[in-house]
Parts: sequence; C-alpha cells; structure tokens
Amino acid sequence: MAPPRGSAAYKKKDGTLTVSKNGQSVSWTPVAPPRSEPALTLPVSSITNLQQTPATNPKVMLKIFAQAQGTSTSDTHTFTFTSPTTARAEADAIRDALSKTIQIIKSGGALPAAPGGAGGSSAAMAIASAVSSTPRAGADSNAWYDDEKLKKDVEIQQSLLRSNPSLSKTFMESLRTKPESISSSQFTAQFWSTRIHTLRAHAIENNQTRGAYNVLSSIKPMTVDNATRLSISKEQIQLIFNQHSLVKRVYDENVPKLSEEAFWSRFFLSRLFKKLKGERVTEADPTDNVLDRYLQYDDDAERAKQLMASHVPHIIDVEGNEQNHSQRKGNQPDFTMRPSSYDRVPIIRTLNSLSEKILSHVAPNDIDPSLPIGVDEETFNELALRDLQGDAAENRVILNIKDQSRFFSSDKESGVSADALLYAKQDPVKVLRAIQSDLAVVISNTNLETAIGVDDDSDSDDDDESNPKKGHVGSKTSLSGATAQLLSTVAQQRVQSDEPSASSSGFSPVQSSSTSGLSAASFDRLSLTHATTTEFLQHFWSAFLSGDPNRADEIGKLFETLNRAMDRMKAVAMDAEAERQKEIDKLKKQVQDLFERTGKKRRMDYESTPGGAKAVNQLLAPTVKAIEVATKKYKKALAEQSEDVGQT
Amino acid sequence: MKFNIEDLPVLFPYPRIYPEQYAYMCDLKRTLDAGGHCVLEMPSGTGKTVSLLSLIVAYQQYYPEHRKLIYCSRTMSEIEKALAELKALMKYRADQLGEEEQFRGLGLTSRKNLCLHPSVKKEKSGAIVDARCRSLTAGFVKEKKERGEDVDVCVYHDNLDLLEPHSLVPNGVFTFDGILKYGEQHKQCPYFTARRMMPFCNVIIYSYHYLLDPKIAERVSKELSKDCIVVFDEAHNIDNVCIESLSIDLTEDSLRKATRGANNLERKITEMRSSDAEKLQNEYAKLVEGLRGADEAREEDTFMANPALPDDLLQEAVPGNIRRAEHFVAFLKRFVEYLKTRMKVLHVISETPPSFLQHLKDLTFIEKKPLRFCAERLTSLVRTLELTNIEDYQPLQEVATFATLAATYDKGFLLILEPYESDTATVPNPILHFTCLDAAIAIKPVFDRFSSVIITSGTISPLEMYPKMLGFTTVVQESYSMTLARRSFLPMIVTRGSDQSAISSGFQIRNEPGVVRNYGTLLLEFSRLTPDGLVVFFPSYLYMESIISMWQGMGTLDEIWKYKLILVETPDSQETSLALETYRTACCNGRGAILLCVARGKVSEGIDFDHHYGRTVLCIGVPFQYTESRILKARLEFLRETYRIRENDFLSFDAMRHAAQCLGRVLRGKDDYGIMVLADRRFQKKRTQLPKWINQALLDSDTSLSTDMATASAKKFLRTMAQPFSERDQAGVSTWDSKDLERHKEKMEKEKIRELRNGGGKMEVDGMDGLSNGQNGIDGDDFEDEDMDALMRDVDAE
Repeated sequence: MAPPRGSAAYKKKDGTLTVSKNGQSVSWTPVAPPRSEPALTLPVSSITNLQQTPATNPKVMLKIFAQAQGTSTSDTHTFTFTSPTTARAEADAIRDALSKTIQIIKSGGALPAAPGGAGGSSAAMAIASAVSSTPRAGADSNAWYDDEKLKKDVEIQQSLLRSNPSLSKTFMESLRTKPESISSSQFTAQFWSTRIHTLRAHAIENNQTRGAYNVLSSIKPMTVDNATRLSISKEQIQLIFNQHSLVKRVYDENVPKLSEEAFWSRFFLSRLFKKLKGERVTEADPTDNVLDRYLQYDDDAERAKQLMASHVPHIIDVEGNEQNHSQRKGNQPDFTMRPSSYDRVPIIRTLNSLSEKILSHVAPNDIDPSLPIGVDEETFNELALRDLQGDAAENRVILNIKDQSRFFSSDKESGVSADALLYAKQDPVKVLRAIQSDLAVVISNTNLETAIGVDDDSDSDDDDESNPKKGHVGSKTSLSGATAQLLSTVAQQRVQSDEPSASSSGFSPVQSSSTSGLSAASFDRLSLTHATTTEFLQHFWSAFLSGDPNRADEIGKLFETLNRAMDRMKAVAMDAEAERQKEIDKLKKQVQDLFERTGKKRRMDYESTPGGAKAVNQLLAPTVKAIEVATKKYKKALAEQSEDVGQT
Repeated sequence: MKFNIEDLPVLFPYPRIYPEQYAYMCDLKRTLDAGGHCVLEMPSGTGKTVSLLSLIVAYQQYYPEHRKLIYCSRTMSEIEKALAELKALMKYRADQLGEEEQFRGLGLTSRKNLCLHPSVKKEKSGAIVDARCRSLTAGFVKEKKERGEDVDVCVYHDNLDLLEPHSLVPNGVFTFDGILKYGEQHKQCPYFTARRMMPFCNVIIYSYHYLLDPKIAERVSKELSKDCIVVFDEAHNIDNVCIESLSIDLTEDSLRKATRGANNLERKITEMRSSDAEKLQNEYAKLVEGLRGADEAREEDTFMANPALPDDLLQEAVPGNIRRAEHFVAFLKRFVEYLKTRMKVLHVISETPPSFLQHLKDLTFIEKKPLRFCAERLTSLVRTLELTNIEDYQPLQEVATFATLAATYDKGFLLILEPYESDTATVPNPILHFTCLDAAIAIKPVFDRFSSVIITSGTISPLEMYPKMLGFTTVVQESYSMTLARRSFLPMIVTRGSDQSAISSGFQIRNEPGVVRNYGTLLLEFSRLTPDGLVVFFPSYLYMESIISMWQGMGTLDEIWKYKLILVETPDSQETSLALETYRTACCNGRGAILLCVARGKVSEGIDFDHHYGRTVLCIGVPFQYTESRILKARLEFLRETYRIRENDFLSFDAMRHAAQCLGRVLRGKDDYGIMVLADRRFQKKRTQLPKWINQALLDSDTSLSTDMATASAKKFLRTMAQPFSERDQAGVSTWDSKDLERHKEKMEKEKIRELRNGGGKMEVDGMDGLSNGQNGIDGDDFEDEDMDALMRDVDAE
C-alpha cells in the first residue's frame, strides 16, 4: 500500500505532506522549487498530539504537536489541506496512519499503562459506553468516556476553565495557595479528579455537531435582479458529495474540463438533479450533453448488496412476515392496493435511500453486526410493560445516620443549641408547678386575656419591673422575645439558604443582600477562601481515607495546608474586622461632624455595625469545624500510628 | 405477583397489573370454564398477550386436563413477540415455584424463515424454499439415498432422525431466534424440529393459516384434540384471512404453465409405465378403496395439499374415469383447455359455481363428481411418481384445487372473470377470480372441532359483527375501557385544513391541490411538533404514491426534510424492513423521522410503534376499500343477503377497524403516550365506530378541528406529557399492586352479595350490559348514506 500523502499548505506555502514508507516519520515538501528536499520532517515518536478540524468544517487542517527529544516544549505544526475535492480524505488517511503508528509506539512499552488508577476505565465510562448506542471505533469519540483521558486532556480543562469563571477562580486560588510540596501537575490531577463529570459534560457539549441533512432539498434558487441565482456553500458541496456519490463521480470526471461554476449551474438545471431529487423527468426538461450521460447510472448495486447483507430482528422483519405463509392464496388486491412501478413514482425510492444515507454513519439501533441472530433478552426488554415492572431497584447507597450528634464535636457548647441547654437546666418539678399556678389563675379568671396576662394598656416596655407576673406567657416581654427569636431564625434561615450558592457558583440572585454586612471585596475573599479550603479538605479526606501508605507524606502536607487555611481564615476575619473598624470610625467621624456643625449629639450604637470578624467567623464556622474535625482525626491517627510503631 | 381467580392460582410476571388485565383474565377463565367461545376487545398496548398467556398457562398447569393452547397470531413478528412473552412468563413461574415445570412452547413459521440449509435459505421466495426443501427431505429421497443413489439431502433434516422423536429439543420455550440458534448449534433443522414437536407441546404459537387454511390445517393440526384452547389474537381481520384461504386467481399465464405441467406429468407416467409399472398399479388399487386408503403413506412431507373436503369424499372410492393416471391427466388437460376458452371472453362474467359446472358439462361432458376429487387425485399421482421439482406443478395444483372447490361448494363462492385489468385498459389480460364470499366456511371446522375458541384484538368493534360473519355463538363478549391516571393519548379528528376548507380522501376531492396542500400542511405541522417518530397511514398505495409525488412538486417534502427524515413503505418488503430499521435508528438517536405507510399494508400489521417510535400517528383519509372492486361488491351483496349486514355498514366497519388498528400501534403500556390524528371530514360521523377505549378518550372538543386547532391541542398535550409522571401517581388507579387487587376483589364480593340479596342475578345484568354495549355500535352508527352515495357515484365517474 502506498504511504498516504496529500497536498497541504504549511506556513502558507503549498506543498505535499507525506508519511514515510515505514510509517515512522512524516514530512512536508514544498511545491515551489520542484524536486526540493523535504523542508520539514517529524519523527512519529516525537508527536504528542494530533488535531484535526471536524468533518463538518469545510476547512481541512491537521495540527501536529511534536516534542523534540530532550526538550519540554512542544511545537505545533499546522497543515492546511488544499486539494479542492479530496482534502478530507487525504487528511483522514494521514491522520489514521499517524495515529496508528503513535499507538503502536505508545503501547510498545514507552508508557506503561498506569497500574490501578481508576481501574483503567471507570465505572462511569462503562455506563457511558453502555448508554451510547454507537461504540464507534474512532478513538476521539471514546475519549469522552474515559476518565483517565479526560484527566489528562489539558485542552478540555482549559476550555472549561475559560467558560466557567467561578471555577477558574477557585482553580487559580487553590493553585496559588497549594502546599509547596505538591507539584502543580499533582495538584491539577487532584483538582480534576473530582470534576470528571463536569469535564465530560463539557467535552460532549463541545463535540456535538449538527447532523447531516438533505442538502438538495435545502438548496433553492432565488431570483435577484431578474436573474435566477443559486448560492451554495462549501459545506453543502461536501454534503452533496457525501450523500450522492454519483455527483462526486460526475464532478471528478468533468470538472477540469468544465469550470466549477459552470458545473454547478448546469447541474442544478439538469435532469440528473431532478432524478436525484426523486422528481419525475419529463420531456420538457432541458437536456445536457454532459450530465445526461450519467442518468442511466444506478447506484443501486451496492444498495442491493446492503439489502442482502442486513439482518433485521424478527419483530420488525416485514419480509419474514410476508413469507410467514409461503402457500398464500387468495385474490390479488384491488388496483389501489397494488404498488406501481418505481419509474412512475421515483420519489418513494429516493426518500428511503436518502434517509438511509444520512443515517449511514450512525450505528443502527436494532442490528448488532456482531451477533448473527437477534438478541432475545433485548427484544423482551422492549416488549415488557415498563410501568408494571414496579420500582426500579434503588441504585444508590443509602446513608443511615443513627446518631447525628456523634458527627459533631463532642463539646457541649457547640453541639447543643442554647435552648436545649436552657431546658436542660430547668427543674421539671418547678416548671410543672409554675404551669399549674398559671392554670389556676386562668381557671379563676373568666377573662382569657387577663388570665394569660395580655396587657394592652401597658404601652411602655419598661413596666417589666412593676409587672408582678413576670415572665408570664402573655406579657409584653415574652411576646416581643418570641417575635425577636422568630425573626432572627427567619433571617438566619434566609442567610443560610442563600449563602452556599452565592459563594461557590454565583447563582444566588440575592447575593448582595446576604453578604452579612461584609463589603463585596471581603465577601468575595471570604467565599474564595471557603472554596479553596473546601478543596483542600476534599483532597485531605480523599488522601486520608484512601488508606494508601504512599500518600502519608501527602497527608502531612495537606494537614499543614489546612492549618494554613485556618490562618487564612483568621486573616480574612482580621481584615474584615479592620474594615468594620474603619466603618465605625467613619461613622464616629460623621457623628462628630454632625455634632460640630449642629451641636446635636447623636447616639450611635457602634456595636450594631454589621460585618467584621464576627460575621466572618459565623459564616466560616462550619468550615472551621470541619477543619477541626479533620485535624483531630489526623492527630489521632498519627498518635495511634506512632504508638503502633512504638509497640513494634 | 400471585393471585387467585376464583380457585385458580395465577402467576403474573409483573409486580403490578392493569385493572383491565385482571378483568380480561376473569372473563377468559369464565369462557374456559363454560367451554364456549368468546370475543374480547382489550385496548391496544395494555398487555393483552401476557394476560392471556399467564391465565391459560395457569389454567393448564392447575387443572388435571392440561388443555393444550393453540395461539394463533397474524404475522411472524407477532408470533415472535408472543413467544418472547411466554418465555419470560415461564422463567418467572420457575423463579416463583422454585422449579422448572415440564413445559414446552414452540412456534412455527414457514420454512423460509426457519431454514438453515446454506443454499436453500438464500432463496428469496418462500415457495421456492418450500419446493427445494421438499426435494431434499421427502421420504423417497431418503429411500433413494439408502439404496445408494446419488441424491442431495439436507444434513440438518437427516440429523433429526438420530434423535428421539418425542424429544428433539429440551423442555422450555423457544423463540424463533432461540430455535434457530439451537438448530445451528446442534445441526438440526428448526422447521422440522418445531413441526414434529407440535404434538408434545403445551403451547403452540403459529399463524392463523395453520388452522384456517384447510390445505395446511389438515396436516399440521390433525393431532390436536378437541379440548384444545384456541386463541386468535389480533383477530380483527380474521374474516379476510378466512376468505383468502379459500380464494384462487387464475390467469392465462398460470393456465399455460398448468398445461406444461400436465404434459410433464404425462411424460413421467409413460416413463414410469415402462420402468416401474407396478407402482402405478398399486396406486390404482388403492384408489378403488378411497382416498383415505391412498392416504396411508401420507406423511408430513407430502407436498401438495388439498382444500377442505367433506368426510364422505375421503371415504368414497375415486370415480373410475380418473383412477388411471393417464386418464386423469387427460381429464385435467381437457379441463384446462376449457378454462382457456373461457378466458377468451371479452366481457365481465360473474357466475355461481353451479352455473359454471353446468356450462362445463354442456361443453366438455366433465361431470361434477370427478372434478371434486381432482386435488386429492393429483397429490396421490405426484407422490406415486416421486416428483421432486414440485414448483413446476404449482399452477396445475392451483387448477386442481379450483376444480375441487368449485365442485364442492355451491354457496358462498363466486366466479368472476375480468378480461381487462382496469376500465381504461384496451389490451385484455384476463383473470379468473374464484372468490370466497363467506368467511364462515373456512373457520367452521375450527369452531366445530374445538370447544373453546377465543377471538381477541385491541380493535375488534363492533363485537357482535364477528359472531355474525363467522357463524358462531359466544358465551362472553366484552370490550374493556382503559383506566388512565392521566390522559396518555390524545385522539383527535381533524376535518378542516389550515384554510378552513374540508379535508377528505374521498374520490371526488382527493387529488384537488387544495386538499393535498392541506394534508401537506397538517403533516408539516405535526412533523414540527412531534418528538422522535411520526407514523402516517394512507388509505391505499395508489393514493400514497400520488400524494407524495404531489407534495414533492409543491415543496412540502422539502420543508419536512428540515425536521425529520422521511421513509416510505415500498412494495419490496426487504427494502421496507431496511427503511423501518433506519426509521427506528433515527427515532432512537434523536434525529426523528416520518414513516409513510398504508393502512392495509405490510407495516400496519404486526409492527409496533410504541414509545418514541411513534409519538404521533396520522391517519390521512378513511381507509375504505376500493368500492369499485367487483370482488368487494360481490361480497357486500352476499353479506346483505345472507347475514343482513348493510353494504355501508360493512364498508364503514371495515374502514374503521383498520383506522383503529393504525391508531393502536402507538401505545404500549400506560406510561407511553401518543397523539392519534384522524384527518378526514368523514371521520366525524364515524367516531362511534371506534373501539370503546378510543372513543371514550376522544373529547368532543377534540373533534371537527382545523389544522391549527389540532396543532395547538397537540402542543398542549405534549407539554402536559413532559411533566414528570411517577409510578406512584397511577398506582391504584391505572395499575394495581396486590393490595389494590385484594381491595377490588373484596368490593366485587360485596357487590355480588348485595345483588344476590336484591334478587337480581348478576349474570343477567352482565348479559344486558354486553348487549347494550354492542347495540351502541350499531345504533350510534348513523352512517352517512349521502356521503357514501357520493363516494360511490364518484367512483363510477372515474
């Protein structure tokens, strides 16, 4: 087989791209001085990556990433294929040849397959490929499903970061504050390992292209300036060639003789065009001495072969149905039910063959070529009544939490709510007695309002002292107390429900209102700190729980990072406090100014100025707690280990 | 799930059940207990087959009689599906019972579909596969081989002789795929395996023809005992199958071939006379004793079959004048020559068999009696001569069958000679139709022989039409409605196009550009809004072809191409299979496609378009038969005179059962959803003839719509369907688990007790109910006579 070659431009000079006979190198020879030496030769072993413009793109380019031995930088060489008709085929041939060789080289031991890893291909991949009905041979399509490949694909990662600013911010911040000991590649791997799904979604999204469509029906002549005009794009020509191999042949055989423009203008008026569209050719149609020669050509031969080769499952096998009764008798159907010959209605056949061509690159849904006879199991699954099958088996791990308090730090103050503490302190006997006495009052008193102590007349808040029934249910104080508690709970609830989404992805619509009084800048810093801390926590846990002794070092480093995260949070808190102080100072100054100007002294409650370390600490409390837990666990494990070491 | 119907424990292979399924099973059991026949209409896609099989298998296994089940379906696809369901059911039973039951279930289809012989299976035509198969597997071929002669045999077939004859395959259920696989592995012929195992099967699933076509029924079904349970599934078209199995067309060409065949026979006889005269003498001796005697040697491999013969015919001695082989061939030749002269007539003749026989006798002195024996006599001769290339004698066989049928039946048949193919043709191309008008003739032996015959389908309204046409009485007649927790299918009747003018496929306006354009717009709108698959049914091939050509000319198709791929049913069934395959692929990968097919065509029978394979089904025009057909006219007349069924009633019934059948294709299960569009002005008045379950779901507001109203309604429907719908929402309403079933049973018990207290018999109420149900079909059918008249008139004008 001749090595694949193709005419391609490199650095805007025309030339020929050739794969060497042994397939070990690829070289480009300029056209300009005839018989010149190859201007560029790349050994295949140095090629790190190949890229090609997608099939739908009219421009055919091949990008070769080559890394010269001993250097760490890779050069890219871009070749634009210039052949007007066969550019795509040439490029494909060269790419295939190269990728084959590259694969051979790679599998030849240059890179031992990562042992273990995520088990080669992860479960997600298995699912993904099971879902996809088209397990195509092309390596590029399968790349979406392979976790390992996704983790390594810098291109996709970069493009995802570009399209998702908040993710990119997290990434950059974490990268900046990562422990020294972790190399950036290690860090990146860690970072992406938890975001495979996002990567995959992104990769698939980027790879989706519009499917083929029926070109001939979409090309319509338009009348401009009394002249019929037709405009077709390169892409459309490509599609015409794909869908109608006959046109490709006609073009190949005639275009040097005919100009491209003339060819197309004649084609769209010809009988051939009508025939391909499935319209009936009439006597009135113009004749064309060149194109009409191809009218007789029938591409049905290959179709017939395809018909013979196909195996259709029994449940849609119309032919089998017809042959089910081979000794069929009966009167022939009336003439409306007798199909007429193809010549009378050519469109019917065209419709089918065209649809089949458009779908030809899609793996068929029912035919599995690897199986000689249909699959029983699958047939039945299709027949089964799905809604009678009952609930699908639970496909998730159910987390049973029996005693939640176990998971929080054991110290009382933080573990139990203030209310609970309050109730815990009370003596049941006393409480019951108080209630009973209250009830006695109620019973003795017919007026409910007075009984429960609602005193509408008391309009001042400070009549508490005078009120003998202090702490009574209906008293002003307890009522307002209850209201305050309720409101604060609502506010807290709101903050909590808004906050998480605001910090990580910026989805929250009420972001500004829920910064807990922090300035936007410090809030951003806060959320970033939070995100990075979470990131490191995640790394920590994944390493800590991996049980991998080789990662012990890493855990130590991560532990330090966590400590530093604590410091960072403190720093944020301090800065926020400083900011708040500034705010207070400003307010004080305003008051001072006011006093100076008007002589009036305004009372200011500087304590109620929002924000500051308190707000920060409040917001970060769960994170701090999480770090504390992690620290504790780590220390405990460390202690146990050193004990073990000591014992042995 | 497991539950009891009265005393019978039923294992149902799903944890839930549809209420209709339960009701269906109860009625089935009632029929089986009573030992009578029934007609049951169960909504399409509600798991009719699985309910039927679960109940009958439970019945078989529980009661000591172990009544065999003969399950007949229309097409191979449907047989295969039923086999798959049976297989799953038996697997479930084995899981539940903890042991595999002693059970066999097999299906049978033609040799063509089951052949493994490397060269024979490549033949395209089923008839040729049959013939070649016989030439390899006939008894005398084997004898010759044993004598050491050099003859071809089929190794797959001969391997069967090495096995124990009652255990060619292990116990269990085999689908066609399964038995093909098994045959390939063990190098044994799937066809003969299935056929020889028929007597040992608990369940047999095959095509109607094996019971209805007397030519085959005689051989394939003779071992079946009287208490077999016979089920005709998808039986809405059963009358046509019956008629088909007794009708024959003769053309000039087939007569010419028949003469050639007769000449060949003559030559063979002379050859044999010189080489092995004894054989012919033996045959003669046997024929004196009657055809039964000659039949002794008859085996499964006899190749030519015979029409339904009354028993006396088989006992009687063959008339003397055709006993000798030479005489018989001369007799046949004379008959063929007579037919040839009849074909020369240039005007249409339609006559009854007695009149035909009279004319025959006057001209050729051929009597009725020897004519009756023709088919059987020919079979006997062919066997004696040990002929292998049977396909050469096929036309002669047809003539002989024709002779026998014409001489046997006086009533219910008609001979129609049409000298021209169409009214406009000038070159004669005569066809002699021998047409059966009475569906009851072919199915009568079935009803006579078997005590329980169950006729069932998704669309078999009006129920009382079938007992009438097929001449039997039922113990149960029931049509079930569909319980739905949400409106999961949307039937609509579109009567006006986008320009508000009426649309119809009536002959008078079907080719008007306005109507064609309106239909085009309707299709375009639905191709825009329907996700995945859209199936369109046309009333006839002719109309489909012309409307597609017109759409192409108008640019409608170009517009549709933007939304969907377009695929069409073609006369070539292989190509249609491939188109179907492409269609399904396009539906699965999100591209979406339209399938254009014909309401009485190949695709409309046996191919399902469930779930995304068919989100919309569009019926363009009422699928009336071609009313100018002489055969149809004769049948209509016969129905009117014999069964008092008015012409228009029958035509309308026939059209609507096909329309309903098309609509039913899109549903499978209650979680499925689909839009059903009936696009013709004339559907408006025919809605009462739709099956109960469709008619109930058809709201008045969804009738007599214009295209834009239908589009809006469909969009709204699809949006509703896009809302999440969990199984919990329909639990207890449209699906029952065991608890719901218990509750229902209790309720029924209480009701029964109450009714007994009130003194009214439940049965009586039931009977009344069934009656009034049936009545609705007829009374509501205020058939638009003027409409039909217009239709007829226009046909005349054409």
